Amino acid sequence: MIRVKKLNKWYGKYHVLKNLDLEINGREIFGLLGPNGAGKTTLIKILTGQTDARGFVRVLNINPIKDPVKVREVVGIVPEVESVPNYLTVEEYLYFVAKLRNLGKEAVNTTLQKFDLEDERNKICRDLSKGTKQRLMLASALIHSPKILFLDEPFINLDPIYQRKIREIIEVYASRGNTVFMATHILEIAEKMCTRVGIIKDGRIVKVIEKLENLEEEFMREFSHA
Amino acid sequence: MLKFYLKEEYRRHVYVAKKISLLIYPLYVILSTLFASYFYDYIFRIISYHYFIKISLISSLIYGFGVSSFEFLGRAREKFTLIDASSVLPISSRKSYFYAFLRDVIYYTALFIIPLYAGLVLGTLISSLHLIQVSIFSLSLFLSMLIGYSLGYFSFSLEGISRHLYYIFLCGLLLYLLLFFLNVLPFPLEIFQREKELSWLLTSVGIIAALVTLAYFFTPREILPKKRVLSMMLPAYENIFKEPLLSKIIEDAIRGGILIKSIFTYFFPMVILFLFVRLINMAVGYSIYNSLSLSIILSLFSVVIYSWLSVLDDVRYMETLPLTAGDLIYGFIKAHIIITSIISIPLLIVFTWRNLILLPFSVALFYLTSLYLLSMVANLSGYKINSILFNPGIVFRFSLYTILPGMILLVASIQASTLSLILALITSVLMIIITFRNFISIKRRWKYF
Repeated sequence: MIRVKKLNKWYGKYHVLKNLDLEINGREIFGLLGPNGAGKTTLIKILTGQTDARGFVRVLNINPIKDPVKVREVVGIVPEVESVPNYLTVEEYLYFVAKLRNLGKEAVNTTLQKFDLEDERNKICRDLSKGTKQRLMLASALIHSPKILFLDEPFINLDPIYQRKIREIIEVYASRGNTVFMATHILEIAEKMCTRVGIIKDGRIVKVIEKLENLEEEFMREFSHA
Repeated sequence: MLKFYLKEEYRRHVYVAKKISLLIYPLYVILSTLFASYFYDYIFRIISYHYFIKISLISSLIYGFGVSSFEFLGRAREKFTLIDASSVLPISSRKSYFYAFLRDVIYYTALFIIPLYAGLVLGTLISSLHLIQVSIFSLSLFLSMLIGYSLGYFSFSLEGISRHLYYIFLCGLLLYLLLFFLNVLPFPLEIFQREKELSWLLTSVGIIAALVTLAYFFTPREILPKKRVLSMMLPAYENIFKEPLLSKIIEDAIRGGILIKSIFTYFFPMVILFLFVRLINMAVGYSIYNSLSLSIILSLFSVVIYSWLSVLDDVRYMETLPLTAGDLIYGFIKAHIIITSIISIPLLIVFTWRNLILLPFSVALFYLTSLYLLSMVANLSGYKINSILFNPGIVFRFSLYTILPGMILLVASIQASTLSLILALITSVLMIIITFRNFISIKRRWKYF
């Protein structure tokens, strides 16, 4: 599914990712856990063809550095900052995404229904609440039923009701045999939702934890040396 | 408080251009003005002092109005800015916008007017220009720009009350400027420049003060976001334009009021230019500028539409879709051509009205120059045209690649001779080749957002 070897990324003189290695084979919810500035968003951006880097990267056997559009055709992405169009309505935005992904109007109607967005369909996306914007981003990321879904801090700024709704959607999606790659800095979420967790520190995956009962301890141990 | 607004503006520019580039920008203005002041004798041989003053002051006013409208009606709606943050800070929207107005006045005066004045003062050392003469000229230019800023600020406050009031105001302003060009109505600063009477200077200051005061009180204390409900229109646009991205950009342009704004930022300056050209032609007794030269000037101005398109939407969400920044740039270019065609073709018909045989040539020249400029702008600045404005490296390359061939075509279109024709043909062929090269390299150069 995802294979990364000796991945390096610089922003000017800042060496953000340093010889990072990672492999995700199974259908699972993989959590990327780390503090702010550890390189979580950068790694997601590279894996989804949003920025370039040096090293070996394959997502569903596609090289996102070489074919950024091809990888975005087959995966779903929910970015950290909710960014929606300024002048399109909810329905128009989903229609726009559906058309870019060669889908018909039925996909729009099904998605509106599935994500409980029918009452919002004629509202301008910019005017939506944070939670609804996040739901819309998730809906647009899943409209084409991708095999992998990338989520960057999906629960940030959401109230408990929306957190629960979005968590349910992600869990249903994963239970259908798909892979979720989720960056978060919230231990509790990683512990509750993920099947495996990779800890990222200073641009490297320092540990991959499979037994999550002691996640907090393991995490704190890694960062107490700092 | 004001210093934070200034700092934000500075950092915003440093974000799109390098720090050093921004700092040497005033130097660029000084050298350009110095160069122009050295040749001022020659300039006044082509155009009379009277018309020079008229066009300089009005250009300055339109520039101020354009920048201000761009800021208040466009950029001020950006997220994560001080204006945006005023809703969560103990400052009213009214005050926040007022600070934004002051910020623009200080910032752009420091960036353009002061260096321009410095260039003219230095110019007195290498030409017969006098210090008092250039000081009065710079002061008039500054106040004219300030009237433009105040009008932009005032029109924004009117738009907040009612869009109809805003359109009525724009029509009124357009009418006034037309009547000014026809010498029916006066412009106080022009009279001040000509007669050096203090009362006209004070009148101008009074107009600025009145506009700013009204704008301040017309702006509500809190600007609450308007919740809009709209029906699904995108499929209808897609039926016409076939491509989802282009259809979306056109819909953005219509909902974002670009067609209306372009009337003021593009169509209107063109009408002024047309009248100005007629005045020059009448003054010299023969046609210096013909419809061919006007079509080239028209295409130069058309770049403003691309600039509007590039700031309409917050395009960060596109990073998650199977699109590249290059696709978005192509979309903007296509939308630009559609919008400018709607506005420009009627103008070209008006330009060539007395000699319609020139219309096909005017249209061809217009599209050649427009596409060439557009390919250059898009290739150099991508989908964020702001970077072109404050990066001297880009401005220099833009000037070299666009103004030079534009000038050759312009001069060739004015003088009817075999040499002019050959020169124009060679330049056109070169422009076509460069345009193709630019369009091809956009996709490669602008892969990421």
